[in-house]
Amino acid sequence: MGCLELTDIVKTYRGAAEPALRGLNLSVEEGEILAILGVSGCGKTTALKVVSGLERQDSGHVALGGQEMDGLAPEKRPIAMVFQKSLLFRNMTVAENINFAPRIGRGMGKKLLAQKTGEMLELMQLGGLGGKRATEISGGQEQRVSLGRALMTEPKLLLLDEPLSALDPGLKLALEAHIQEVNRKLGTTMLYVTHDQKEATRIASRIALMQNGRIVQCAKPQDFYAKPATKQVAEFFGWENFIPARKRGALVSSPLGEFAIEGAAAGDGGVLLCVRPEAATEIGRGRIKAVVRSVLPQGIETVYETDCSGARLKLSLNMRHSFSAGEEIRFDIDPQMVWCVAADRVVI
Amino acid sequence: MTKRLPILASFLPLIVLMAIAYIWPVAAIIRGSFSDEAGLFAGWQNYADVLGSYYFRDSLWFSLRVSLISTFLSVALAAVLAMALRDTFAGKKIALFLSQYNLSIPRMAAAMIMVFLLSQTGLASAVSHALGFTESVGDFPWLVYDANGKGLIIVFVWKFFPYICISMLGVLQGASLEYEQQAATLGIGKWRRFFFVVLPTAAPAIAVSSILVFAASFGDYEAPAILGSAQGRSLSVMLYLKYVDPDMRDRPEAFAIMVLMGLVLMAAIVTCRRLAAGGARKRGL
Repeated sequence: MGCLELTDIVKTYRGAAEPALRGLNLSVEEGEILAILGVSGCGKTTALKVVSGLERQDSGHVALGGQEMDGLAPEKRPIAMVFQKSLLFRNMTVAENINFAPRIGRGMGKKLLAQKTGEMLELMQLGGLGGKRATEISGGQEQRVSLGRALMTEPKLLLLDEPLSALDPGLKLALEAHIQEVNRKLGTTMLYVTHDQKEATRIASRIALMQNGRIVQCAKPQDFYAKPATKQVAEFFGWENFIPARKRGALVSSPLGEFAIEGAAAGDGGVLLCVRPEAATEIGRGRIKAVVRSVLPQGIETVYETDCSGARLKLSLNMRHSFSAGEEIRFDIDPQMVWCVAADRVVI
Repeated sequence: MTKRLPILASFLPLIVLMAIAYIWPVAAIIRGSFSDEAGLFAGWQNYADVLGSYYFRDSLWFSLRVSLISTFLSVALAAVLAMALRDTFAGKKIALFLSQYNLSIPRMAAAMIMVFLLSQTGLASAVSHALGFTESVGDFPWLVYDANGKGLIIVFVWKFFPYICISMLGVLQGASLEYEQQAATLGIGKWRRFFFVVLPTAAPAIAVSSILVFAASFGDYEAPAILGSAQGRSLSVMLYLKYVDPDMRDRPEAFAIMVLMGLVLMAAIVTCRRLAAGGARKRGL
């Protein structure tokens, strides 16, 4: 059993035509960082609010460490949350923000409070800033304070709702590394929500891809690039070519040729052969022929839209290769960059 | 400097209008408070007469007490209602209407309604008698025309709490909610959240609306004139009677009372703002 178990969670907001969560199932392991990834409006934040107790689900169960959380008020759950906005108490110092929960909520003794605050300031790399007002620090420091404030409650589970989305890219990378370091040091289980595929891939040990209020695939980040569960998942992770094909056992036959694909969930019969745009190898010498229809330069790479035995195929080639519209390209496909999904699987 | 002059010039009509509509009358009142009935300079004599008068001190205390209690009760009622009304629930629109419909009722009409409802010959008294709670209508407690201003307080609270409720709702449904949710996920319980997060966030809105309620009830004439125990108990009624008295010797004292009422309100504004700012600082928002 995981640290956090979500079972068949359904949630419809009052007045909304569609449910925000449609039977959400998810299991988060002790000590891991699991990222819920999805586009805006797919139900990510609602899922976090249900877990934290800020929203109550219509049906389904939330269990943490084997204990039912359903019906428990947010303050009674051993769960802390970091929001997209830092929500620091503006007229407090950094240290007062950090120790807000034990000072106000638990009435911790002054000596212990000072010791714990000092330790947290160091862990958050905020040493020397404890006496500064919350209004006097940068955006990145604000999110560190917010993270430290949440960790001061010693939560069993830390929820992070797009905490880095307002930061610039450099700062974002630094804070991602910092969050991973905190996770390693404290062993706190983290549920991290983001809409940024790369951010999720960098920070999480597993990703749960959410679409239309349910999880469509939960796996290690590399699996989304290598083994997407559905066409929608594949599209989300940059697969651009979906070619009708036939599958028998592990063998998939398509206009591009035959591929042995082990472990795909799609059954025998009509399937879609997924080909990554970077899959072309042996350019100029391979056995597959395609005619270039259009050329889209994209910096260091160029995307060629081609016609390959009646199938449309997008290929992304680096700048060493140059072709014009109407020209023929010969290439092979890297078998590591193909996959197959069911042709008829549509998630609503 | 060259640009400032045209900007100032554009404000000139407003400045002139303010001077005519506000500054000149205020200056005239202050001047009148330092003059005798013939318009000759009288020094502090009018203030000494007013402050030395038992009737003035009694009226000041009565008006202050009624206004402060009305403001406190309005804030308390508005806070409870705003907390209840900020969540989404079935029938919220009706609840919102019921909490705000009395905004459109004029104060004089509100006072009259209280007379019809709460006087000894009013509806409540008749119902109480019919149900056997009181032996006769005369046994019904004095809620209007009473010496403690209970009727006035009821009118002011009923009339003014919606103003505070509206401004508090705006705060509670906005930024305060995010901070409250953050505090909840940090393990802070409901009451502590209210005192350490909600109240400090709403403090500026409460302060401003409290000042408005205090000023409106302190300076109100219609309700005390209708519901007061005896003409002259409320400061505004006393002021009016002195101002319209055919004996012109009372008019300079009326001016002095006006100035003193203005000073009380200014002191209330400063105190309220300081308390709100101090409270917010103390609680960290």
